[in-house]
Amino acid sequence: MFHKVIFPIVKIESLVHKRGVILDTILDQKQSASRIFSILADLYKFPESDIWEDFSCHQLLDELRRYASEWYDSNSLVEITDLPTGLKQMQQIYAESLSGPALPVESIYKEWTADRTCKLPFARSKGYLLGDSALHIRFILEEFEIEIPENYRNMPDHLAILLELLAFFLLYAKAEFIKQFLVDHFDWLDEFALRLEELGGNQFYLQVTRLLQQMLNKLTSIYGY
Amino acid sequence: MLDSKISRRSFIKASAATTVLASAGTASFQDWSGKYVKASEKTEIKEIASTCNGCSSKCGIIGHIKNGRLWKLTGHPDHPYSKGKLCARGHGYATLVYSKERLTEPLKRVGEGKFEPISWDQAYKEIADKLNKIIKENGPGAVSLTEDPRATGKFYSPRFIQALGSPNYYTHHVVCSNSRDAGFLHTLGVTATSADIGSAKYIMFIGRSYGDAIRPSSVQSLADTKENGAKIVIVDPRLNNTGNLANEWLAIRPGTDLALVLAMSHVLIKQNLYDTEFINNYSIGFEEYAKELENYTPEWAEKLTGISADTITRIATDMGKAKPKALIEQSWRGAFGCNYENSTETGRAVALFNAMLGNIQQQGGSIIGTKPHLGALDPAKYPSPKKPELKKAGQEEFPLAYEEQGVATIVAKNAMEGKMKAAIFHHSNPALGYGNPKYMKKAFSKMDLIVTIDVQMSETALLSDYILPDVTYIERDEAIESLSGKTPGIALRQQMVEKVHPETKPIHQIYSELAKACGFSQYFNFSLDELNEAMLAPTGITYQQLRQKGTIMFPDMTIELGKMPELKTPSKKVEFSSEKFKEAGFSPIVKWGEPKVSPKEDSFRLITGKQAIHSHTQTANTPILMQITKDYDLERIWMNPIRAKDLGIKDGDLVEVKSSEAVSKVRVKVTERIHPEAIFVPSHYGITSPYQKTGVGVGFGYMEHVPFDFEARSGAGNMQEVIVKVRKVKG
Repeated sequence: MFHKVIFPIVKIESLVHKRGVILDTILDQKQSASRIFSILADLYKFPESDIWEDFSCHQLLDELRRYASEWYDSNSLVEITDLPTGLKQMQQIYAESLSGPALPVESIYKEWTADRTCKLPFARSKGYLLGDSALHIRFILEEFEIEIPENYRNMPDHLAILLELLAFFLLYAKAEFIKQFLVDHFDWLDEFALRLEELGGNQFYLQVTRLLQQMLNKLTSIYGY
Repeated sequence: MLDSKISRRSFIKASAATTVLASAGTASFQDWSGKYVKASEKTEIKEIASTCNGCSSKCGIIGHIKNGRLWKLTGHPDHPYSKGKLCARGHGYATLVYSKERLTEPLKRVGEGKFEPISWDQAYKEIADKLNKIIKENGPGAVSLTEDPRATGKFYSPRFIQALGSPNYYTHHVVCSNSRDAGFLHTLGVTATSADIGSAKYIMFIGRSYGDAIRPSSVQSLADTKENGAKIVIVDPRLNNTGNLANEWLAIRPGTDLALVLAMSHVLIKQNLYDTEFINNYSIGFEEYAKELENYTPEWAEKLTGISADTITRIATDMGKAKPKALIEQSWRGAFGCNYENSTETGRAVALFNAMLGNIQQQGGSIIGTKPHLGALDPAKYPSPKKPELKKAGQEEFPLAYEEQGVATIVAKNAMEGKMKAAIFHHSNPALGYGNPKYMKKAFSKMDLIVTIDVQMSETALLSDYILPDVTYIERDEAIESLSGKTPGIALRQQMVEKVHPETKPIHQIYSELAKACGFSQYFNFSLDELNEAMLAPTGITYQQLRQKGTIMFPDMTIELGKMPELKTPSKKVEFSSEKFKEAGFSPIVKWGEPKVSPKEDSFRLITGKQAIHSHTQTANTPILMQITKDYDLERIWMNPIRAKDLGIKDGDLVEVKSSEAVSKVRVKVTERIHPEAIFVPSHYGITSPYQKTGVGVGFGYMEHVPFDFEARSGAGNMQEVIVKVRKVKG
């Protein structure tokens, strides 16, 4: 088990009230943005009872919408309507999509390696785990001494991890860093969403992904593309 | 300020990095990739010797590892099967390690085709409880374990099932070589010889194709020997991919290979070309057999086989003149491994023909190999379970079958009869590959417990109560493998990369932990390394040395050719007449027997065989290999142009293939490379597991058309006793 991430809240003593208000506002916006992606990260993990508890009384989605509304016109937000009706059903939907046919792992949607000396027959193919994108995330984790659970060790580019990292970086990293992270590690979601669409069945995770894309597009526009 | 009512369950754990992060520059993927790729030119590449698992040959390989990932695979130069080369399967199947469609955690069935993930502890507890309950209520004979063995399974699987008190250990040979094995066992005392291709002058392959069931060294050896002037004859209803190395193709009517061999044997006697000295010194029962052979003239065989009497006579004569450097290659499945009701007799006839050529243990002939002398665990410290007193299920019905392998499909039959209650399957796919899938599914549904250990969601896994995820061969150490042959050796499979999925386990660990849950951990109180050290002890080779080399041969133990060993038959000689057959209620000497079924003018016999890029259904979900299938339409059935014209079928047309068991649709390849009486369908397709996205929907599974059956002598599956009708359909 891992400890909860500790966000050191730095209380800014504003010298000028107006400046203080602005800085407080920016801090609030960062925190709400971070919160959006934290919640979305939770939704891409295998549903356990704690997630279901928050989900079933609508708190999780309500909170998501609340924070998302600070960034987006709430009437334009993607609606999540195909809601699982129980934990078992949610787990089943997960097992039939995110655990298998539509694994939310970046490596799968990209060329496995740019190493042209790699002689494996799938080196330039999509569809395999532990590609270069995974190694890049490992590099980032090592650089910043961030740990992830053991069962994600060889899938560090799982969407749940990427979103938690994004949530974390939004609070602590420079704008340039965040911008680059967005460019590097979220450009595969169209293909992922398409995979979910092709699966048919319950639309919950597809709707969540569409909302995620909406939020990421907004974030990308804020960081100046 | 944050005002969240939601509990936090973050995965990531950051320490003091936040301050570093606040000042960090970009670490873009492009920059990193550029540096990584450039740096990787100088990065150390670790080489780890191991063995392939693309097929059961287990050729030696060298894994080249860079930055903890597989980077390249090459053939092991010293391994007798690879000799430095790797086939397409060897390269393609390795993609499995990073496949997105692997089993990643233990699963428990919660509905038809529906599973929920569970912990290993829960899996072990529930499986153990169920096994113990079944044994308590029904006796240990009601549980079984079936696998396609690799080195670790060969040791651990029988040990585990014996520890449960059950003798019911089976291998896949019921759909591979049970008939050949029984035929050879009761003539030569071994289930197989190995052909000294490199020195042979005349080689006949009956159904066997080195070009399709590849070992790189076999193909090379055959090519070299041809270049040295050897004559190579293929006997097969289809011109298989060894064709480009053959001098002659005999397009035999399927199911009649026995007639050919009997007639050829007749010719050897008639022309006095058999090795009389060998027969006199090293065999029994020849006179009785010779008398029977009088009936089997080339003219008689011509009517059955469709091969002219002149050709039969010529080839037999040429082989007789080339002896002892002439042979019929022993095959695995080929044409008589498990194919027809007369396959065991074909196996006997082939072994005996080789004996008549006097080629046993001769250069250029059929070699009875030797094994390395390996040690064992100290029984005082590591006790073995007692050998069960019960007879293995199927042993009574099929006393001629090689007991170590058994008749695996008896599990399904006994399940239907309520006698088999639990089955464990490892590294095999019986539901699709051992018997008619409808029958197998029904049989499985009658059992109280099915456990499958596999890397992917096979058809067998889909029908299981519990699925335990194995690691791939790239990610595991194994027990030492004994290489038998003219020169024996040992090979070691070794872990090349870290486990990709942390919740997968190698079977030596699974069995040991499950044994603990079952209450007999005392039989698994050793580590894999301890087992390997014990096995190595008599060889003088250290574990370190073997780990470094991967494959070590023992040239000092090379068989002395020209010296006939004492055989492991009751008479210690080649048995042209077998008491064992007599005791089992069959003719002691080989006699002609028809196949069980025969096509009529408006139907075909469905035959099957291998392709060089696939292994059974194991590789059907490997995208790289299936792309070759798709690029070259390799899933198509083969039909002769004469029959195609009669049926109004053109190359590429969609047809319906109908048997007593199933109806399938597939496109046709119209080719002269197939006998007019036969339809050839490759054996690798027809995946029905929806989890295998690449494989599902490509071609059809020939097994769907095979009636569930047992050959009378060896219990083999009679894979080609299938009659089909074909017609063109729209599409």
